[in-house]
Amino acid sequence: MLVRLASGDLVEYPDEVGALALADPSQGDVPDFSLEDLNLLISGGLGVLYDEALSLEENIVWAKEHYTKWGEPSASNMAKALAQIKFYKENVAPADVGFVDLELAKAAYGIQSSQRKPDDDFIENMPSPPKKLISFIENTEETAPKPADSSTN
Amino acid sequence: MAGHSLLNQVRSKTETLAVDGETYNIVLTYNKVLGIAGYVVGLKFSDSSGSMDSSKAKPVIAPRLSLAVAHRAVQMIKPDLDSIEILGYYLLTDDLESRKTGGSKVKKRLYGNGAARMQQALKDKLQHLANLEVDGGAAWIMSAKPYSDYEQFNLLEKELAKQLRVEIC
Repeated sequence: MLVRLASGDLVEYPDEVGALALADPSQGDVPDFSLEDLNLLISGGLGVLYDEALSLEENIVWAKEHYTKWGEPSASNMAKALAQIKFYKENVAPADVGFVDLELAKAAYGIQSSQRKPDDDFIENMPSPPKKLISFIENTEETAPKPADSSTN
Repeated sequence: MAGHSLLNQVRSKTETLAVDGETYNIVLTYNKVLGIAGYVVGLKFSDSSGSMDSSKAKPVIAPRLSLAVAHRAVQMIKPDLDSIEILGYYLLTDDLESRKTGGSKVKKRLYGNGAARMQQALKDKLQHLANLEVDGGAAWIMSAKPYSDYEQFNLLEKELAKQLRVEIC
């Protein structure tokens, strides 16, 4: 399962870890996520947890710890999450992995709008992600932020 | 607890951050709370450009925005870390609960990841991370002591007058 990091790089995570991100037992039962939700949750979740000071293997271990700190998901939730990961892999092209609409990202990360329009309107009416995204990477002004201080790890 | 008589805001700190051509405000409010020695700090993110026109919708790399704001928030907090007892931020999800898209499910899952990354960088002082679930919202609390050890936890529960669930991370 591909995950896009903040740097723009794609890395391969085990499907099981992506399923844990969806089946986090602290969040209740796994809902029927849309494809766009899945694209946001998988790269948004695992990409935020990714610490550049660690190896990919260490990041996979840390992600597993993060998502199971309140316990393991139920077998039925894990099965549903794995089915959604399969659906995601079959329907999101590598070039589109981890690219989401800006307003959806703002809403999902709790960034409040300075205007009155509520962020949920954007979740409800989100346009489909564009197909050709490569030029965006080349034109991005800001380089990826360094991860939060990892010296305390 | 905003506006409560036991809560006194003494100062605030705001910085703007540019990510992918958009600007954001990161606001820290420092509060004194009766019975808590250090500051109780609230964290809020907002967009300062206000470009909420959906015709301007553009794709972004999903984790980049969250990491950028979390990293800047950590930079802002670190100089004051010794004087901070509790850092928290709150997410309203009330109006998302009835939506068919599962919007609040997405938000809660992702918002907590940003909290986990911040706490990782601040854990020298704020060793404990808790997720508070209330009707219509969720909060992440980083604290020097386990959050439920604070007497003010009970105050918060009364203030919200809603069912409160705390999970110690």
